[in-house]
Amino acid sequence: MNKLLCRNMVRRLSEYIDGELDASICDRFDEHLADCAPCVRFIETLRKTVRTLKAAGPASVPAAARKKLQAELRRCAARVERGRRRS
Amino acid sequence: MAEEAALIEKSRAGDAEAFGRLVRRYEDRIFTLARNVCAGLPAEAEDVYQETFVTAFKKIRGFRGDSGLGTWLHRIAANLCWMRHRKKKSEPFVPMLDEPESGHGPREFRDWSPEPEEIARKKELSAAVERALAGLPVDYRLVLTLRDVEGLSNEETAKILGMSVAAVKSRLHRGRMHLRDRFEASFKP
Repeated sequence: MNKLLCRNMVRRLSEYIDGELDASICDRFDEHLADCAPCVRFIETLRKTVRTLKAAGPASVPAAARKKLQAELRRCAARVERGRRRS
Repeated sequence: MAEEAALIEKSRAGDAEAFGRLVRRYEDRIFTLARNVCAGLPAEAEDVYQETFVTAFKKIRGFRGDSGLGTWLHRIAANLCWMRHRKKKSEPFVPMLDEPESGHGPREFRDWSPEPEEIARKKELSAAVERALAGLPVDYRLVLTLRDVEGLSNEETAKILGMSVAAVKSRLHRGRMHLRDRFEASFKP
């Protein structure tokens, strides 16, 4: 375990798991990971963090909020129409 | 896309029906953003959702189409979230260092959770995510939602939030690290 490399790795972990690092840096990290169990565990928990956030997932609009918005949009459209007729 | 362009054109003329069809295309994504950024405050999330589309309907004549409609709507929603939070006196503090509370020196880390798919079956997941997000500044919640929940690219996220790609990457990483710490505390076996 090389603590300096561990720290460097942690700073760039998101780029690493998102596949945004240059190949040469990736290779160095891969080499380090082959020999550093704590870093491997840390990466796995960061990946799980991202998956957990995704799993909490998209929300659906509550029916009451949707109805309220539709009514408000109709009011807005009516105001626009009235304004046009006047001008 | 041609259909969307036609709906935009009709909406510009004040056609609420046409705009309603555009709303249906984007409303879940906008509501998800609002819910995550207004974590723990469902009434605020509904207000942001409502205000986003009402503002968009009023301003759609000025929408030039330089960016996609989705980007434009997200930008309106993000601005509304910022404005609401600016009124509050304090934001959660996140240290500037890219290191989580747990520091990764590295020390011993527990594998803190069962598989997310497994947790997803439990109601506690949404509540835990909501609590964790609430502990982060608004900028971070926005970036995490756009990147990790919606799956947008760094570039698209930067465009929506008016930030540099470097700033998006930095907030994304710090946000993930802090959520990791909070999930570790929430889900430890």
